Amino acid sequence: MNRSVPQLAAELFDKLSWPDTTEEEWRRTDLSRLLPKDLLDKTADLPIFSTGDIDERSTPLLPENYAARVITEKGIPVAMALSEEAVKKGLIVEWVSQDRSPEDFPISLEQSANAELNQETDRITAWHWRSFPGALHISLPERAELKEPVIIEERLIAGDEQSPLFSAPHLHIALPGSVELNLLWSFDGAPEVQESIIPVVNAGLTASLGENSLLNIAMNQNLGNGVVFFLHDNLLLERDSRLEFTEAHFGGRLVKTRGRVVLSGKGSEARINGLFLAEEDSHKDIGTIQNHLSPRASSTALYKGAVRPGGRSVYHGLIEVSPDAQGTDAYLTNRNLVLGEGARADSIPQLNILTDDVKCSHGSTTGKMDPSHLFYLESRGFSPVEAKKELTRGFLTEALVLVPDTLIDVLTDSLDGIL
Amino acid sequence: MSDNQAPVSGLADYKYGFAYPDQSVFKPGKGLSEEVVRAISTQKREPEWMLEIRLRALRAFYRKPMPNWGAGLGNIDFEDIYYYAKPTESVVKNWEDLPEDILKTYDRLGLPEAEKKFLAGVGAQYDSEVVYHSIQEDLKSQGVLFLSPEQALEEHPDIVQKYFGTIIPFNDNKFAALNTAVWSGGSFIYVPPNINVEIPLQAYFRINSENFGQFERTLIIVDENSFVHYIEGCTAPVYTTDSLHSAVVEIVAEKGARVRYSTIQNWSGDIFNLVTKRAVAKENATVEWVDGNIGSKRTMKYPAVWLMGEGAHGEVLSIAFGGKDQEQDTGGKIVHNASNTSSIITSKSISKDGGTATYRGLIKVAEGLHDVKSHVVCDALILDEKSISKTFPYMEVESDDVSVEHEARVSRISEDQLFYLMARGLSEEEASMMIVNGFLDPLVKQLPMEYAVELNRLIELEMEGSVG
Repeated sequence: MNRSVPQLAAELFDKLSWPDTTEEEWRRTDLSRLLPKDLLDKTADLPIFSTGDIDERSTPLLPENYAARVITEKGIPVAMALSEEAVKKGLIVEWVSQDRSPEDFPISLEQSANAELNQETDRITAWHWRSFPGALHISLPERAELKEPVIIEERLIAGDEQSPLFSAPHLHIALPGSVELNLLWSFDGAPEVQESIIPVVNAGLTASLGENSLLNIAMNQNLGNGVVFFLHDNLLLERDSRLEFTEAHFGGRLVKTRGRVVLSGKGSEARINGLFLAEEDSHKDIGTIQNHLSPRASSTALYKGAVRPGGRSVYHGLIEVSPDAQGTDAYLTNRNLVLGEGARADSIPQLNILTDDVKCSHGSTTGKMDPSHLFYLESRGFSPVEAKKELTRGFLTEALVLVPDTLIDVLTDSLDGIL
Repeated sequence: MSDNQAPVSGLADYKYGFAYPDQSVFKPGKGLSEEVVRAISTQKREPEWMLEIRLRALRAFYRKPMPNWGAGLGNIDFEDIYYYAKPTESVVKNWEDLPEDILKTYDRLGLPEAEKKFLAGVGAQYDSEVVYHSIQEDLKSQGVLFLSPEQALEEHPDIVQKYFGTIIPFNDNKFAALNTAVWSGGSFIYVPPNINVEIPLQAYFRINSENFGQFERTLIIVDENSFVHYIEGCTAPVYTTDSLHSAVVEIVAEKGARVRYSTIQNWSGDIFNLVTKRAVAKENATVEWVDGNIGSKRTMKYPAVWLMGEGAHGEVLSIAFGGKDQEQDTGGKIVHNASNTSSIITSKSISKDGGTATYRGLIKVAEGLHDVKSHVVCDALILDEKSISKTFPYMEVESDDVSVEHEARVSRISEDQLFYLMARGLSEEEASMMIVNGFLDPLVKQLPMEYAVELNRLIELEMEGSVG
């Protein structure tokens, strides 16, 4: 009998140890220094929660212009509503509990899981696949176009006082050919943080885009400042598909992400954008991989980060071009804004190119605010604080260009909240 | 392309691939041990403190792990290498006094011509000891010291002790430790304050004994407001077994000084070239590394500048050519440790015939600094589909009043450019050559004329038969 994904992940989890700074990817994010001792062990010891099929859910208010709204707590859907339009188009929002038998597990989810677990994976990723309660599986029938966005809200609420709070939400999007889907995945909640009880979120996003399909995902991570947030994405693009991806990391005391975009079909196109703000005492380590496997695919990444005094940000981006990916066009840009003394920003854009017919480049800048811009705004009546705020907003907002109009307010509200 | 055109693929074809019978005078057995280190030290009649450092470095070497990143170093057998060979009894003053076979080797390298061309002091290294050394009288009268480090240790132990191992400590990394334990030969330069050394100083290094690692040690101290340009060029005969070259170069640029260090490295295709180069630039000082890496099997070399005083400036210009079976892992490091400092790293790499050219660099800005500027540009050209180009720049910024920029581009020779040139009557090969030359031009221009010519010739050799 086949082993299930969680079983496989549990074996891997037991085999690996927590990543330390000897691994290149974790060199700048020292978990033993950034987190209280035993936090990860204690959190990982929590019993794995599985739900079976959920029959009862409440119906949340569905704002106009939304195709669907799903509210999850600790990754488990508790409320769901679909618009008439979405029902008509055949939108599927399915809960796949982790204890489902391997035979009934959606194939594309299993493939995504195996892809993540078989690559050089780390214990954090294995932990996710071991302990996720289930995946929210979203799909559309072939040739369906759903312009209105699907919104998924993960809410982090305090559990009982004694045990650490842990959530491992997983979102899986499987698009067949020629469909269009817009989606917002939002993380909210600022549970109270005690010395020994620090909430940990270990989220995963997997998607496969069929031929000619278009997927637009916006992520709005707006968790409280005490939360530890891990995220890993694996987004697979088939022939001529197009991905537009935006991730915004506003909250969290420790954020570590690794997003992998796999351009496995000819002519596929990925645009990935990100913005992050590292507050005082927060550590944001954002990672992206543009993995080109097929000819004539293109990808562009734009990541913008702002770091406040006492904050630290790390961005590492990699463009990887396999020998078969002739005619690759790949760009990567990282811009960091250092907002004062005692802020630290590391930037590591990398290229690994195994063929010749490519156009690849990356650019990185790290600098402070232009004093002449500040002066200009101040001369127009902005106070120095406001002027700085506006310039930071303007700087970060550039990375929101891919977000659909219907969703942009959600992200700009979050941005305003922290500025 | 046909194989016999590849200049590094076989002895018969390698331009500098000739070797005269080995006549070294003192040569301990293969392998590394405390006895070997002690023997080297005794042979050189070194003071006690140097032996101390060597032994501590040897222990550090055993302790330090092999780097788990960079070029693949899997098959270095440290026990299969000679760590010392002294070619002739003593240092000679005149060209004619050199043993005939050594002279012949140098003749074929074109050294006497270099001398005729009036290129200051010629410190020529045959195996591991400096056997020939001449400094022009005017340099001497200026008080400039251009010696082998052994000589320097004998004649000016105070200066050597003051600086030796202060820029690159004996335990800096595994290969710096190895070098410190068994170093032999190299150059020592001291320029007193307010002296402008107009003629570039240069030394040729040459590996001649099979399985013989070369561990030269270079220490350059340029006192306040002085200038020196040091040139190091390397060619080595082809052997089938692996050989190791692990040098350490330390540079101190005092207040207002300027140092330029140029290397054209053309080790033959079976050599591991693992070099640690680091310079310290004090107030208003400038250090420039011009680093061309063409040969060797594996190169790991990241010339570094530590900007320690206000107004200091650091520059690294790096050219790498990764041909068949080669892995060039090169780049530059700049550490900004003072305000009002600036730096530029320019890297150009070419990979061909399945070779790998990697840029690996670091820009670090320490905490609490202001007005720091850094600019890094990496351009890579891939000449065929089997070849590999990688870029790993690291930027660590801990101050806010800074501007750190990095850009990298990877591409192949564009069809448009080729078409244009071929429409003007050039063959495809000539056109490719011209484009490659144009690609490297900004760096080649930084070299003295003879070296620019030599570099162009070497690239031409490497490029031969690359089209069609």
